[in-house]
Amino acid sequence: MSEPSTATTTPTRRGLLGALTVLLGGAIAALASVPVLGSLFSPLRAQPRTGSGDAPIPVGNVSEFPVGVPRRVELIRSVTDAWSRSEATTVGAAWVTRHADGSFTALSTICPHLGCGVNMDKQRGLFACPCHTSAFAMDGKFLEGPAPRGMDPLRVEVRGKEVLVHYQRFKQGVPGMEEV
Amino acid sequence: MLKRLGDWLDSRTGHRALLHVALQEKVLGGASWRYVFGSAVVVLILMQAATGVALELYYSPSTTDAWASVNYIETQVLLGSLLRGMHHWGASAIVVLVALHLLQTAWAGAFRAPREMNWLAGFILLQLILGLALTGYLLPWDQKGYWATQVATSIAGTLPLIGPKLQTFLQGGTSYGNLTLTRFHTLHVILLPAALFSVIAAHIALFRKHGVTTPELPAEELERRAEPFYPRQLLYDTVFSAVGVGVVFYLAWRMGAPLEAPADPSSQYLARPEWYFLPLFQLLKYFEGGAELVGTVILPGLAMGFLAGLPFIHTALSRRVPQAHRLLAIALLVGVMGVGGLGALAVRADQSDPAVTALAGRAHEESVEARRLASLGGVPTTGPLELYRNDPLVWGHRLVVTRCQRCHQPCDTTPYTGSPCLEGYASRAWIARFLREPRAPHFYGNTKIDDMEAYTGPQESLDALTEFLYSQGRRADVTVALAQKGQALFDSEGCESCHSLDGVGSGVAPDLKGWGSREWTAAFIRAPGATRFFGELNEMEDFDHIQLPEEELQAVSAWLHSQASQSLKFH
Repeated sequence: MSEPSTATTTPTRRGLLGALTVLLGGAIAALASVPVLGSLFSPLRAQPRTGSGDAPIPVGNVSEFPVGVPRRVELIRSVTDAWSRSEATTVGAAWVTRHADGSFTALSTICPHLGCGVNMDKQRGLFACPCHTSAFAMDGKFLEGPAPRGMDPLRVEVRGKEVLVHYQRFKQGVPGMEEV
Repeated sequence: MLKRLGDWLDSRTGHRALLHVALQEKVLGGASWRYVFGSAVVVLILMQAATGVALELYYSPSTTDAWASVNYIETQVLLGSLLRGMHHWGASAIVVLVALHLLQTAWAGAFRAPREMNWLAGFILLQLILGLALTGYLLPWDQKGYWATQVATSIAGTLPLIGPKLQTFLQGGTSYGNLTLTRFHTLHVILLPAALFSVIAAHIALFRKHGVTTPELPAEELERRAEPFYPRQLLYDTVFSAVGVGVVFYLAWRMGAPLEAPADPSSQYLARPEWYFLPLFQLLKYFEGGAELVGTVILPGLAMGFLAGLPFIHTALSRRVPQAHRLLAIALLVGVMGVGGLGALAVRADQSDPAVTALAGRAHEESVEARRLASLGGVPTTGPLELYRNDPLVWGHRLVVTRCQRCHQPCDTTPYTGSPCLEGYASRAWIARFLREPRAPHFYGNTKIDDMEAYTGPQESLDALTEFLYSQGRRADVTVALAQKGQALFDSEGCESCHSLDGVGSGVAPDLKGWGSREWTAAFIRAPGATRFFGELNEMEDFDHIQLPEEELQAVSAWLHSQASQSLKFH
């Protein structure tokens, strides 16, 4: 059995063998890429919305809220985060105000500028973002600073004595409220 | 245009010269299929790196999250099951190809001068690959990884002098936990791969220095047949690698990778390592008492020492023995076959042992159960073992297995020597059988209780009595008329002379008001010797709040209550 040497391997034959090698090498890369790319881009698929995600979160009894003074409440609910499920996780916070007529309003504590937590400045009687000095009126209206809009209102519901907040998150840095 | 871009790039990087060096390497004696194994190992290792990085995007190394995140990869990530399957089968394929590469190079005598250092580099690579395999299958923190790896670290613990310290060092503590997982994880994804790629680089550099180990032909013949690496040898390598990756892809696609139930330190699990460690596992069986070290460390150490020492053994031997390298290669082949034989023995022993089959079946059921529970909304942040607590029946069954079956054996135990067995308890079949033969071994035959008379009345009366007793368990499917007829018989046939129906009891025989309901069972388990139950006749121990906390009692009662709809597991 005589093995062909370099001299006998014609350029055409070399080209053919080279092309075959590239083809098979490509096949190897493709097979390995299928699951790697699939899993890499897996989060871009539409996520199934979980039922509990939209349920209003109880934040306390009506009597716990003084009239006219915003109270900061933590929003705690069960959360499924990828593989793990927690019965009680703090997902955010809200400033909840009880008004004289018995109605409630709530403002998300997330600053619409870049997402810092907005504090209440009791002396000046306004909401102030500690990061970039945006300021908002007690009803959430924009007063000054780099924020593109006022604080985001959240829907409040009163069932009997219980106060519940519908928690949502909105896109930051844009003038309009877009849910994320 | 393209050529000008290429010229510019080459003037800045010199890539053409590099490519030329890589592709035009002279293969003495010509291209051959014999040389494909090493390349295929490299290709598969690269595939492991790619799939490993992708797995790493989802994997979380903690005892509470590891199993859950792997299960998430399997069930939620797009093509995640395929991804994990390829990493799993890739590992097995690498072990097979490394063995073939080892045998091929040994047969060619590649351990001889001047390639001694490259042989040693290959030996180190073998150790690194086995290390990667061992550290890898602990990471899912499932039953298999948890128990099989325990064996490995326990072996480390038996080493003289340093053993206990070494084991603590490897585990990150005196027992398995988060630190074990983070250590094995660091080894598996950082330290061992870094070492692997470094030594592979050295291995290939040394290979390029000395070239392939050629067949034994005259120098001029080898020179005449010589050809460059490209195109033929590269094509051979690529063809074989493509077959290897294709097989791995196919196995991953059809079978995926196994994921057993989450690691449970309290369970009885059949610890079996991955197939490539079965020979070591089998070896452990032959050495007992003080001789364990022979099987765990000394023999494997001698075998590895022989492998590493081949170049030097050859040097010593070749002065006296002609064709010494063939002799050594044959010795190595016999050794590898012996290792394979040990593995085969381990498989055979397990296949012929019904207890092993039963345990394996139960492990599979548990795995299915755990994954079903995990699919109902995720794994609790407190860890996957909490999953079982979400379903009182599953949890109750686990408690019955661990707490009750020491006396109340599984019904299919033969011969049956336990207290009354519990599967199918309080079902109609159970009641009817019990009334006919209360002293049968599956009922009270193995206890002191012997004064209950077997019921010898006609079948229809038996059915009515059965229905009446069945109705005490608060069942939804009771035939009321039949039960009422049974209640009349209960009085007329003399049952009431011993068994009261007032919820108070007489101490003579158990009161049967609500018998088989959760409340009755829970109260019974708390105090079986109470006047309401067996009184003086009782043999069962009390399960108080410390022995069996309230929530566990409720789970056990729920499970027992559910048994009324199950069939009997004995004849």
